[in-house]
Amino acid sequence: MLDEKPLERPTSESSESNSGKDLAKLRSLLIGDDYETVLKSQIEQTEAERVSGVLAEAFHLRNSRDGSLSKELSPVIENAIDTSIKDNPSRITNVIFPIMGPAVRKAVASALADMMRSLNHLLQQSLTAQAIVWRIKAWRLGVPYGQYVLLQTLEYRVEQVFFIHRETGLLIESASAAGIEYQDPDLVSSMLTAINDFVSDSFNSDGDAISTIQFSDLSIVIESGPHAVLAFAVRGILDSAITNELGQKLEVLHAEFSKQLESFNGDLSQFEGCKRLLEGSLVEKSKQKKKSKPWFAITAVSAATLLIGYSSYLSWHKHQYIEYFVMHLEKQPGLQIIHSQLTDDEFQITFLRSPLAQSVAAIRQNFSYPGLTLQLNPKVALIESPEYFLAPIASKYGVTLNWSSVDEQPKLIVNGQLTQIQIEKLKQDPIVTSVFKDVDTQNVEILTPLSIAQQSRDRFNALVLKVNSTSIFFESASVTMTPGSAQELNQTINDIREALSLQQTSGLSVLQIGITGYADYQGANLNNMKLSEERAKLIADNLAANQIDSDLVISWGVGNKGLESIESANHRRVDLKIVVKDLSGESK
Amino acid sequence: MISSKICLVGAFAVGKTSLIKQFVESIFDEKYHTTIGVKIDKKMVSLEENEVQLIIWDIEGVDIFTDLKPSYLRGADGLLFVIDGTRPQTVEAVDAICQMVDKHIPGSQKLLLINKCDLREEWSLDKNQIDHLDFDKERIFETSAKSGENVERAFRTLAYEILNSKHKSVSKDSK
Repeated sequence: MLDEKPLERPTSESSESNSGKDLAKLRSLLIGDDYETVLKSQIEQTEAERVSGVLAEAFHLRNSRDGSLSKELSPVIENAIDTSIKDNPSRITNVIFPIMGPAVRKAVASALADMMRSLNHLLQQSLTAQAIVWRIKAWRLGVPYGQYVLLQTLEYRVEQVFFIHRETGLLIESASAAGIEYQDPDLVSSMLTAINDFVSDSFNSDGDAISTIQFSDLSIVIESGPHAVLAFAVRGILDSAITNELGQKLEVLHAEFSKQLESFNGDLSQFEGCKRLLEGSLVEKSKQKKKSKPWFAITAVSAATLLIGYSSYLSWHKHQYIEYFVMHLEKQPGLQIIHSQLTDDEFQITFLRSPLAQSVAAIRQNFSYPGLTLQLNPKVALIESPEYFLAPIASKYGVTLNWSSVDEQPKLIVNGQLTQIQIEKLKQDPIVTSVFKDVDTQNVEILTPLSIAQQSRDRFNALVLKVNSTSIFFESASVTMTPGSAQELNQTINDIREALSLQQTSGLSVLQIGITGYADYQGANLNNMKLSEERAKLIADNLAANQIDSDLVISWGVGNKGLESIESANHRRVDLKIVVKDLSGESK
Repeated sequence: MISSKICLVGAFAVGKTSLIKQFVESIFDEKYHTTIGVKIDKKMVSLEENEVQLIIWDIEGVDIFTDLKPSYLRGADGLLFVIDGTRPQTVEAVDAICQMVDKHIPGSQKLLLINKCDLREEWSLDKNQIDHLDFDKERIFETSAKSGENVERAFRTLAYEILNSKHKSVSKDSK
């Protein structure tokens, strides 16, 4: 056994060296000279050097396969940043300062602007009459004032909606409220995307998106989903209810078009029905309208009223002035206005003027009214031709006129009817006196105004005539008056009394009242005589009973004498006759 | 209707804004207005039976002070890289942007516009530089925002490529 071992050892050694040789041969056959190089580098390079050569590629490879690398690295990076900040905080500060500075400034400015706006709003709201009303209402409702104001001022309008593909920024669909004019919505949506990209790039806030852009009273609310973005242009005050509602809208759109959004390739025809959904978001809420007074209308109306009032005053004043001027002119001797006319800016007078009368220049001097020129058309009235004056004078006094020359002096001859007063007036008329040396009124029929005496006389005579023509009729064979005649008698008595009362003023007097009674032919003559006497006596008694002096009354009966020409029905009667004495002359 | 977002990127003052103005309004303005942030325009392009609405993002030029913000490119279907033929360094800017684009929006359609071809005699580009950018020949356009040369064609080609790629992806999805 022991012998075998040394025998075997060389065998094994030789076989070992043989296999080593084979291996080297095989190696040189397969790899060739590179083997040496590889071996050399394996020996010369450290492990770290080798890894560093492939690290970047390895990262790239792994990163493109899955996201596990980022997951693994993130705690490392976080720790690294932590350590870096602890070691040297100023370094990080310096790096982020250029970004943080403007961001902080902007945030502060925005907060300040907000504060100013709300302060301003508060001031406005608390100092107006409306604020007081609102305070009372809020108190009555038991609601805090702030909440009530919020309720009252809530007002917004969604003016435009953009449905945008998130990745490309391409506009899928848009809708705008009636009457709203905007830029091309395609460009707007792309620009919004670009702005968002810009902001997230500039502020390294990758993955985050802008949620609101505030521009004056217009806000652009941007709701982002995994595949699409919904942007709303809202004018007015935003509240959470509306933003929530808009967010829900995006969810609805995502649910409805999930497939199309996932495989979006720019084909817009796949989004039918989208517009209808978008239009549903164009909501608006209006605030109570202010019942402000229509100041403009009030101003316009009052201005118009003032203007009309002022112009009518001016017109009235102008007419007053003209009237006064004309009146003054008419008083001037030797001037006779024939015609005058007032227009907007001119007053025209055509008049006759005798050479001796006031000069035209003097007349003009008396006239001064702003904005009004005086146009004088004098017709010179020469003494040799007084006929110019005849027509105006004639029309003024209602007479016909003529003139003649007596000893080379003009003489006015008047024809017609005038009262004495009118004749005097005519003779003193300035135009007449300036033109004519003499006035002939011989042919004028002078009208005298009726005197009171004459009037009384006339009335007295009329009454007498009436009484004298009155007859009182009686029933057959009696001293009873017919009903009509009894009435007549009363009237007659009144007439006689009036006549008596007029005796003084009229100059006439009642001398006697004769009452004659008659009877018809029926019955005996004696009886008839008696009956007629009784009838006359009745009337005479009636007169006496009515305070007519009985001394004046004489009554007698004449039977049926003198009735031949009177029809038989009127035979039973009494006639009255008043005998008048004219105090100025004889009795009638 | 297909709506599509496209972006113009490149160094500052290569003519991105002018190209868009020429394409959308057919106007060229000699004045230089620097773009800050993004400007957005749109234009409808009719291709055979399809209408494509291009929403064109004019992104501020890249320079040593301004990096391209990748978020502006997000969701873009097409990109127009613009270089200024008279300024070789603008190619480098595009090169840098290309890498970023590949990383952020790998599926987008890309065209290269070498602008200011009205000043071709002043061009000083190295062919190798352009080759290095690795654009197919048919995806490179020599344009002039001033004369309008190739501007419409470049935009229409991009719209066409976008439409094609969309159709492809739709048919792929349906399979």
